Amino acid sequence: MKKDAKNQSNLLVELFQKKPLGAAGLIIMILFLLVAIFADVLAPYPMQSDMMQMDFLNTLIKSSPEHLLGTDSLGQDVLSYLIYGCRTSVILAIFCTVLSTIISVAIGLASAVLGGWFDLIVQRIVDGFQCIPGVLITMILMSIAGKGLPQLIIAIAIPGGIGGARVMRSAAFAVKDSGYVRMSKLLGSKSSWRAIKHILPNIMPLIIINMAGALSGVIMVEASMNFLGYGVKVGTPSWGYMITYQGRANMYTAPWLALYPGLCIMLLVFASNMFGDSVRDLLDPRLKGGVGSYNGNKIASIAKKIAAKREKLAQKA
Amino acid sequence: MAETILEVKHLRTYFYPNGAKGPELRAVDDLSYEVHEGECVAIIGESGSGKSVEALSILRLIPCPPGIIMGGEILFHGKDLLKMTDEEIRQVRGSKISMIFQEPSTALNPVVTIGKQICETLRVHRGMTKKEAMEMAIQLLDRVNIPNAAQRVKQYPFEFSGGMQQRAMIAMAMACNPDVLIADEPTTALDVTVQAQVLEELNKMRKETNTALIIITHNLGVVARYADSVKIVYGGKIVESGTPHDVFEEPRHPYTLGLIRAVPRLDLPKSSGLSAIEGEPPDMSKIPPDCCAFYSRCKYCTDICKTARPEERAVDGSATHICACFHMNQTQAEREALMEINRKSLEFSKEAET
Repeated sequence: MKKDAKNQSNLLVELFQKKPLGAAGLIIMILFLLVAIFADVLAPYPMQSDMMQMDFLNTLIKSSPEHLLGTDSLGQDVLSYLIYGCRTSVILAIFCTVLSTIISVAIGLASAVLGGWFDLIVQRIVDGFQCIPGVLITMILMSIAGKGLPQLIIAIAIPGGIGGARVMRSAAFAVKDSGYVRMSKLLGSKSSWRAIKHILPNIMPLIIINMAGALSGVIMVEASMNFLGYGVKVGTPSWGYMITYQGRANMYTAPWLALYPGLCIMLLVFASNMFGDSVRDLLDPRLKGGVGSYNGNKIASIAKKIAAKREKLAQKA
Repeated sequence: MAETILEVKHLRTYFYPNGAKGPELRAVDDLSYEVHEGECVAIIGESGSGKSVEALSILRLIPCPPGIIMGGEILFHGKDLLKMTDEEIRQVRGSKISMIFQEPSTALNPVVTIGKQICETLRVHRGMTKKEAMEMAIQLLDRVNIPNAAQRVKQYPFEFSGGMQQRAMIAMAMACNPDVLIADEPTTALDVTVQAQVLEELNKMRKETNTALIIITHNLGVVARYADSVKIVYGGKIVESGTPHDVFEEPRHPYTLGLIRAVPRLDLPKSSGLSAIEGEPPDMSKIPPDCCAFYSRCKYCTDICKTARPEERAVDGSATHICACFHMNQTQAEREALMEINRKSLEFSKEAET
């Protein structure tokens, strides 16, 4: 209990002190965010009237002073394209994560608090959704709604949110029967009040953990949806789109077209995974000592060495 | 006599842990009593005797399933709480009848400040704004003697000690000046010195606001000091009730005698040992309805105890003292022996003082 209240205020400090890898992940993510925000300034060939600049005289050239990462088959500057693609990915990651978290918290809380037949029916629907792979649901939703960024956000967030609802429900269930919720009930509060004022703050760590964990998944799904051709509209720059339509076609002649966006995806997914893992470790003490923390064995071996030195000194004396 | 505000009549709360077809567990079985304005009623019983279930039944907080209030009436200012709609009972909870739990640390939300939690009742029932409620919360904390209330309201429960948490709970429960406050083992989780403070606080609040207090406890010392009326509960039934003098100085029921004897005493020689009531609390699902629940542990037990249920009868020559036992006039020898011990220990402690 003591931990919870303190952790939330000092989470950032602890992240940097105890989880260097997580902190690195956070920094990389912030860099990507800045790139996304200042894309128009950073890109050497900025978009003009929502279109990438094309140079049909210089297609598929290697990196050169004019085009640092080369150009694709349409003569678009790869670096500029990646920078704008970053914007797409970041927008998508943020909105999808927030939306899917809202969906899962709403379903989970309502299920736990209302209980009874409502819980039963909702949870069976959730179970039903879980039987179908998330990517398939996204593809179905995309083919109904058509291509585009908003559609993609909704199509990714819905299966993600429904999947997360079970975790939220079980967490809310654990809190629901605690003394303070009963106390609140016997002091005459409504169930909606209890859900928002008592249960929600207590499952907040889990919500944050879930959000951090969902980030990397969203980026992967976005890339793969674009790869499968169910992604954003044709004109919108996207890493996954570049890999499919430029990279795959020109694999042998211009391998960088697949390599650079692939690296970008990898880096962002890695960063968000590290960040998510660290946040989870910090907020959930039971999972402490995961990836990216200082190694306990290392500390132990150092301590042993120091002890051995002291013994030697003592013997000499 | 002050006005009767709460009247529990023939309350029966049963549990069906294995579904409707499984055995029924009669946690509260035909329990009746009255609470007058500003009175302090103590309900005493061992673990599992149904005293907490009875309290939760008053506020209709028995989880259903498995529990169900089978019958009886709970009249609050003449209105039956059991017949109210959910919305009506919600209005009663917290504002008219309030309750505090035994474990303050679990009954306070760890991630919400104390002030906000006290505000909750005020905002729910009085429709106060956040600011008004917070000012009121500071006053309330001040009233339960928490120093620096203005700073303390911003703190989280873990920053409070156990006694302060319990006092904050009292502030929460008393925020709307309820007519009845039910304290379910208010001092069990606290150490002895803090117990006295908390009880003193409760008693002070009771006198200031003329709130009736129902203390549920198994601590006889608590009761002897504060209660106006004592009810001994066994097996979901009241076995003996009366003023503290009636129950502690002239106990009639074999169970009450056992309870009083079982209180550990520092003033008797070690060789006398600790005495206990023999046997175990009965499995409530296995007692047949037509018998005295205490018969298996009672040395006065005769055939009639196993076949009929003792009625609550007035003890001879007393207007307040009621006992439910067939053999209540045969316990005199034991009672006198017990009182003899008390007298001796009193002399012993007087000697020790001089």
